[in-house]
Amino acid sequence: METRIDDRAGNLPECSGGPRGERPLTGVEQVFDRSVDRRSAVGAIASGLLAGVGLLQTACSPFAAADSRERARLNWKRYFQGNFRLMTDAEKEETVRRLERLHELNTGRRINVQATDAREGVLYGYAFNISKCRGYMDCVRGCIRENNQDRQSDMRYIRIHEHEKGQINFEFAEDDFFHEVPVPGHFYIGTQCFQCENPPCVDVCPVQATWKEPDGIVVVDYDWCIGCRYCEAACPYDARRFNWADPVVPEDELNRNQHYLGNRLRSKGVVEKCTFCVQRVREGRNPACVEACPTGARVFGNLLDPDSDIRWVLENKKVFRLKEDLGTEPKFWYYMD
Amino acid sequence: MRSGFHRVVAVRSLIRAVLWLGLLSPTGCAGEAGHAGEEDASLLARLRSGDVEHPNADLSSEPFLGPTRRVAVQEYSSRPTFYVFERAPSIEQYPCSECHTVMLAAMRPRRRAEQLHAHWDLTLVHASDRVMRCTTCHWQGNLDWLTTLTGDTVSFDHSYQLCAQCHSEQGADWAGGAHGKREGGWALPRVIQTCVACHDPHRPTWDTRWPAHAGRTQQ
Repeated sequence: METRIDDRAGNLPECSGGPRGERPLTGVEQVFDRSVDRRSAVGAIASGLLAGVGLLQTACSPFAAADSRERARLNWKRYFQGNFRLMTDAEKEETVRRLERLHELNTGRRINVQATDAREGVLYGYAFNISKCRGYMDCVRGCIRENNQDRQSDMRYIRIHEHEKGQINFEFAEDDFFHEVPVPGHFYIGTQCFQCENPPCVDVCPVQATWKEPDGIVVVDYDWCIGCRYCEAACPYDARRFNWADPVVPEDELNRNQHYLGNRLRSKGVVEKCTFCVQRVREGRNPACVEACPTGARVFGNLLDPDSDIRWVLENKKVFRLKEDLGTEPKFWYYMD
Repeated sequence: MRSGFHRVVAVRSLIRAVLWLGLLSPTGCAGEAGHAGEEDASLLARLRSGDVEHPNADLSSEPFLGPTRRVAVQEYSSRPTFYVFERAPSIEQYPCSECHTVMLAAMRPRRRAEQLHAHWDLTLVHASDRVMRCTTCHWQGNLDWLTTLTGDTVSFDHSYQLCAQCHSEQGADWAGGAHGKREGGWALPRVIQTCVACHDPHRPTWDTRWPAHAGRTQQ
């Protein structure tokens, strides 16, 4: 079994030194296995005990049913799992199986959670034709269903902005409309996470719960995110969404083909965002928004393929990106007919 | 087990991708030698220097394409061969020659009261009647075929050739990838919808409609 201590870009974790430097540290070791002063130690132990006592009680009680003991045991392991990027392939496999099993225990139904790696030689790019968009929002609906977004808060990764002709100024555009479209004298621009090559959200995360994958997608480890929302503040495009409450997805609308870094079920207190449907594109499918759009306004493909549609658009159409001067290098371009 | 050659190719692709990632950032300047001011290299130049040999990553659109048969489109020399779905099987009353056994001129009603026996639901609202009439596209010699402005016959499978006569910009955009709808996934084979999949050739204008998603405040 291969063990690796660095992440795929060759970065070493900060607390990997010392006598146990041979294998990646678990969450417990990363948190507890370092020197602290007495005051911090007392505080940490006390809060840890309070958190753990509840879990421990259900896990060890001989009176709980076998199912709830297993559930408690799995929740305990999940609570102390490490950062996804530091896991070996075997640990990742164990992590996703645990999520599948927990869902089965909690609901009696099965899901399929993958941890598919980025494909080699692929860098995803996206183009949006603002002459074609007519404000239909088929993309929004497709995205919500594909990515298991919370229905109660009307969580949407994609926003369609209705601009009045004469200027592109997002301050004056309406992004929560519901009337017949397109409205004469108006045009429509859609935004979502642009998967920047130089993402400010990744730089500011205090716990490295979000990072850019080798295929260009910026992802979040929802079980590592502490919900500080610094990334939400840092994003210049307002792409990040925070779960103020436990997300609710009706069981019959649940998308059961999930990815650990993509559309698997999130919890209260974590940040999420568009991932270019990582669960789909790593299997060769288009993102749900691209497939749903009836006007063909959305173009997707591999930027490293000189024959791809996205490259043709960049080379032949007049493209622009939003807030170009910030240097975020988004991989999402706009063009017109 | 991967052979040594494949491993080398894979590693080379990976190195190139990693190098290209460094190139795409404006502050990264690792990579190709000999260029002064690497940070200022245009976006397209940076993209081209990162081209990989196997850009489909062992993925394919085949599993997502369904059983409909395809026709190759090879008229656009700037683009590698791509495909459209066959059209004739989805036309309800094809072949047209089953009814249209005589020339169209001979089928004209002699009396004003005698109207169309079929196609009564079709109205032509596409350019003015100084520009287009039925025979602009439908070949009178055999209604199983379409015709160009100069009289060349075209099969229904390649009907896009007709549209591109007047809509040449859209035709070029369509062949390139900036116009129209892709079928399947992002990997090869590239199958795209023809013009008539979205644009009714007899009445191409789209009506307004309601959005597919209502916000929580509007439900």
